[in-house]
Amino acid sequence: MTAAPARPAPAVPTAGQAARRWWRAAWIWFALAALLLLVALPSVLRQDTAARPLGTDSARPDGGRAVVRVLARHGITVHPADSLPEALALAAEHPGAPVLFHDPAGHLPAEGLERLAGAVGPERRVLVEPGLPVLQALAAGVSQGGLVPEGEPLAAGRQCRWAAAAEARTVAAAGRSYRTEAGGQGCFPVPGTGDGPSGAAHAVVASAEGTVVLGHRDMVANAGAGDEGHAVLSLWTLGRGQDVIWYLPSLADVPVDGGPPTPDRLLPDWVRPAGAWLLVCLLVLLLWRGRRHGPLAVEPLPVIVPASETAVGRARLYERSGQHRAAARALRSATLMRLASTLRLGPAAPVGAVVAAVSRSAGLDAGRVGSVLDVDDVSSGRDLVAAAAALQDLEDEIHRSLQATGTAPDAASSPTPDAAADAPSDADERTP
Amino acid sequence: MVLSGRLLVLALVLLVPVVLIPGMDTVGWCLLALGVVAGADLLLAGSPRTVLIERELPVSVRLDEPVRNTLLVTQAGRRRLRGSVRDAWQPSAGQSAESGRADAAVALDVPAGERRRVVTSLLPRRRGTLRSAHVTVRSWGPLGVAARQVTHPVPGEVSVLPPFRSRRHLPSRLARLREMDGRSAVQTRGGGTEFDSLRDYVRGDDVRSIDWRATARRQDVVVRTWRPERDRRVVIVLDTSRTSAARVDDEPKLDTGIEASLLLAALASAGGDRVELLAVDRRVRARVSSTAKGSLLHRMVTALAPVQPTLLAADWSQVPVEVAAASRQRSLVVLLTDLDAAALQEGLLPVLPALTARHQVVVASVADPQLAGLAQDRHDVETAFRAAAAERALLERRAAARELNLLGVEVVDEPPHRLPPTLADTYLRLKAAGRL
Repeated sequence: MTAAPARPAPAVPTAGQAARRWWRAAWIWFALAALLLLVALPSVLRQDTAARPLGTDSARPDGGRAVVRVLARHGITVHPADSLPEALALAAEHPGAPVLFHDPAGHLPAEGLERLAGAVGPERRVLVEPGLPVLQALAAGVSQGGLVPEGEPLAAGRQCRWAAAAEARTVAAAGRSYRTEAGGQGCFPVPGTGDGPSGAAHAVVASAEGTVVLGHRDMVANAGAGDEGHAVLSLWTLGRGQDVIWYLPSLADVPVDGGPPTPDRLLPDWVRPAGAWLLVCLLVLLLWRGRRHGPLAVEPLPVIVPASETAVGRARLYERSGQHRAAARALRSATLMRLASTLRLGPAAPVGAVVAAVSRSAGLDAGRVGSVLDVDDVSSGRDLVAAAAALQDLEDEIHRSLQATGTAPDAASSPTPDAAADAPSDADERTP
Repeated sequence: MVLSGRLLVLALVLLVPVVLIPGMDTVGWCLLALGVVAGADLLLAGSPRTVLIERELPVSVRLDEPVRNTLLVTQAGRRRLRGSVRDAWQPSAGQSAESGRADAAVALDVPAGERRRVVTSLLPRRRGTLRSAHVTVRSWGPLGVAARQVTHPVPGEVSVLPPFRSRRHLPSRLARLREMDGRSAVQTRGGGTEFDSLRDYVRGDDVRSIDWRATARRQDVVVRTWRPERDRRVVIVLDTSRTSAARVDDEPKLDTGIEASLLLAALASAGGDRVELLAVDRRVRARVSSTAKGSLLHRMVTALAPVQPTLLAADWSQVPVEVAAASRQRSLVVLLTDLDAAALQEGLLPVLPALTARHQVVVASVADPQLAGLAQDRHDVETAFRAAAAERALLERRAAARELNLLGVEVVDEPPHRLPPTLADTYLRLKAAGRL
């Protein structure tokens, strides 16, 4: 308990050393994050506008890159347009150039279609798989004819007097079909839809004003541009001049103030920034409450073995293996041992002698004592509890009667108090 | 870096402009303001890295006794350090700051170039060696919104000695030893067999001890006084094997054994006997001899402080050799071990004849009072089985004790609080009977 002199602490790491140590522990995470970024970045960047169906730079099956390349090789410039103003500007810039229009998602609203119709003459329009609103706005006299059932390639047909279709000869049977009024031309009739130029549905239709309606995207897309007569069809249709305007409406054409009211629009303006700010507050709260005052202290824990564990374990073993008789015998032996020492018979006294001594000194019936001490017929839990209680009662009874008669001042069962043991004794054990 | 509740309050206050001027720009500006405030506070805080820390600590402390743990904190940097300091003692050291705070972090304010004393008190809860590896200093900026925190490696170690609670039994035993010695003020004749001296008869002396020959030479009646033999050997062998790890009354048997051996050693060295202590499992863990210099008890507690139970079976075959090395003449060999029947049969019984042939052997063991409680409760099937198992264990202990008795070994089998005084009484009885 002597106070040691104050010991100076070992050198504290400098800020640089601490930073290096921190970096040694953390660099692996930075490396992993960088790796993840490297792997994920290209796929993130590739998700550009070109990935849309018939995108001019899209090399996917539904992209339009193949046709665009072939057109470019023939000296035809393709002008991609993503929004209506862009498309209108290009249309004004290149009068007479065909305008390819494909809008499967219906981004362009009715007003937009009207403006497009006003700016682009009917003979310049090439519509790919148009829906009903597009047909109504851009292809007067053409109506929908249903889906084309899968089957044999469709032949150009006798009614078709359009040179491109005649040259193409066949197209794959897929996509939609259209009907046209008198004056228009239907090519590639779909079998089983009727007869005649105006009655049957056709895969490709040119209206009376010269608007071309292609019934299936694959006639232009990468995947199908080489099949059947698609190449001839698409290149003849689009390669009429020196320029092609490739208009694919995008989200930019979606009207901003349209649609049903969302919860976001109903709430006041400040809710969104306030929510963001509350997130910042939450972060501050976490950093405030989560910071420890230094590293954890290590506690070497001791082994904890309760001493009575083995006895409890043995009891469970007895119970699980149904050793009722063995348990009862253990109880009986302990009782016999205690009675023998109470009556000062010695530990090796036979059962008969103990029974006789008990009945003599406590005045109990020897037969009853013997039957309590006979536990060989214990075979169930109930028997065991009864036998255990009987043995305990017997012991209590004998102790009571002995105390009442005062015959056996029992040293073993009532330990001498500590104070008595501590008192100076003048016991004279040896005499010289 | 540490943030405080004040920064949170500031952030919540900044919610007002965010609501009044809605827009993500406002959020950005508020974030910038918050960052600037916290960063400025961090930059203006005194550096916790330039702090020098020294530790003042006693080498050892008795279990149950508080000890002052002092840190001298010097700010060697240029700025005042306002913050707190935490000494990372292991939880069983029972550290508490003098201010009474439970989290053991002590507030600190050290002007530049000055030194302050930080005092915490330790109240160890377990015997052994306590350690603290580092001290963490936290330094708040002038606004109190952000702090810098650095952990300094300041190793501290204090050895927690056995408590020796059984020393309260010592005065009464020493009194009896003095009576036996004949030096007591009480008018009783000294016990023992060794002739001590002649002195005048005083009323109350035993008339049988009158030396008639000396009385004849003088006018007065003279009595002989006797004293017990001195310079006997007591070898205490403390079993530190797996059986000593068991807990009785929430105390490992080893700790009870240490208490008993300390009381016995104190008593025997007061009685003029030489004491040797061995702590043994598969090898000797501690060895103390009263022949060396210094206080025997102090050397014993120091040697026994780091001894912990090992989870191995004891190797008793080396014990006779070690005992022979410790003492060549007839000795009292006290084995503090367990009366577990299996361990006894395999380990101790084969080597006992080698010990009993030359020495008086006492086997002291900690009895489990819980077993008696288990044996009494018999109200349903499960408790009846438990009672049977407990009775069985008690019977086995009794049989083992009887077997040892037949080999001439004294057995002391007592619950923890009774073991040290009973062992001391056994020693006194054997000494009075001249059986050492």
